[in-house]
Amino acid sequence: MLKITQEVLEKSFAALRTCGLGRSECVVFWIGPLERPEHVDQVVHPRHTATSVGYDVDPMWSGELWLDLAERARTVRAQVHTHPGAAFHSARDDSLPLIHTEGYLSLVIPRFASGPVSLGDVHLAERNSEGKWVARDPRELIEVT
Amino acid sequence: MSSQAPAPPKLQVTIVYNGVPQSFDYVPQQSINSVRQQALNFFGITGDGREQVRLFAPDNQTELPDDASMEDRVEPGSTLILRPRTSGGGTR
Repeated sequence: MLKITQEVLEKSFAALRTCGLGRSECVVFWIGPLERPEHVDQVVHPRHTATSVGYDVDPMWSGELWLDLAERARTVRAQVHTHPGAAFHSARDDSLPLIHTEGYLSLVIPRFASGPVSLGDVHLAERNSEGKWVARDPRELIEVT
Repeated sequence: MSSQAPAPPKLQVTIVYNGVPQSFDYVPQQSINSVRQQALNFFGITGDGREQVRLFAPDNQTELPDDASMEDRVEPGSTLILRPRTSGGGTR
């Protein structure tokens, strides 16, 4: 169970809305301390490009993030991005995640995150041991405290 | 008296993935792919990620080619970055 604060959820929606402006997709990543595997306490917004139907993270940014996280003993636990319409895990979402390890979570928020700040309408996928994405119930894997 | 050649020196490199630095031993003639595969196994990278996640030089820009040898491209004791070539998503 990934534990996030309401503040993390609110900051995530705020970043997705401010950057996407209701017309472009956007992505943020949830970060937590290495020694607390279920904990998320930070939202990071990457350098990226985006259109109404996709986004691409600056590849150099991910390397810079790795080094910064290593200095602070922290790690990426989940990615959160918007779709213009329905929330689902597309083929592109499947094949181009930032992290490729078991248990990594990918959250898709519909309608450019214009709806309520909650996990109610989201689609959640979890990466399994074979590198496949499995749809999961957000209420079973994410607790907002 | 033994005629065996001395064992090649063991060198070390640090590889960082998702905030986790890990030291790996290698010998100079070892291929970069072999070290990359060790790192992929250590960090638990599975599926199509194994092809997409590559080793980059400390400049975070230069991708290290699988078929090159460590001694040709890597300074012992340096820190390499294991990261995806590209990352993204979207509706299409």
